[in-house]
Amino acid sequence: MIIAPPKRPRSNDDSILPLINIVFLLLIFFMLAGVLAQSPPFEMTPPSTAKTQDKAQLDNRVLSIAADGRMALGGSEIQTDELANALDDWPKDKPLQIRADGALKAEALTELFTTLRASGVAEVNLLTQHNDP
Amino acid sequence: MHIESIPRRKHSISLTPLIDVVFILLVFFMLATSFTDWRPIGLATGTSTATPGQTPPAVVRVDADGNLRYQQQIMAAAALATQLKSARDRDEISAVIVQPDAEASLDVTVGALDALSGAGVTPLSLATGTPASSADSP
Repeated sequence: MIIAPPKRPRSNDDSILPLINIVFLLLIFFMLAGVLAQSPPFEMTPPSTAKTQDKAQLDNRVLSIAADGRMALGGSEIQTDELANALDDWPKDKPLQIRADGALKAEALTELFTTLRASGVAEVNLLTQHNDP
Repeated sequence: MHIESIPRRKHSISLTPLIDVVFILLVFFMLATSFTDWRPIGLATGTSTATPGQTPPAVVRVDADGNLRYQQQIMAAAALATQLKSARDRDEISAVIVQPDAEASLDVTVGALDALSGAGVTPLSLATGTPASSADSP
């Protein structure tokens, strides 16, 4: 009777330990394997590719474009005329990452390139989602 | 010594608050992380960067149905990519400009870009309007 009470709390903790082990493992997996990325404030389905081999890590200042032409720099929406100002300090040798909705007219993108070129962005990386063929 | 060790075990820290915090962190990372496999296609914003000499750039037109036209001929994407790659290796062209038609969507255009960039055709760029707009920014 005296030996029994201290065993009960111990066995409670012992039964929780495997749970904590798994939860810690999951936590570390999600921390290391995933990328914390700001998502744009609109729905977007980027075009998919099969042959492009390069891989990309998302920048903080990725330019997202919705099918209706709305744009977001990072996580916040931005107007076309504010874009030149926002990208004023963009380094010359660094490509700007753009992810755009697949339904967007390609012409809208080329018109945007004119604005980007004026603000000193010489190269862009058009981000696509990889699909195995 | 034996008497002291028993009370210490009794006062061990409760694990419940730790589990609470770890669960919250776990849920946060599960929701906030993205596992999307992004593939970049490098494009020049201006075609002017790719005209150091007299070699002209190749212009590939993409229509709304995804047909690729090079020198007025409709070509298959894979065949066009190999042809342009070897032409690029022989320095017959300085760059490849992809020109989507007014009605072409980005999905269709990226299909062409994917074939070209997958074949290793390097200075790629997107352009609108009439061909041979390889001079300066407007």
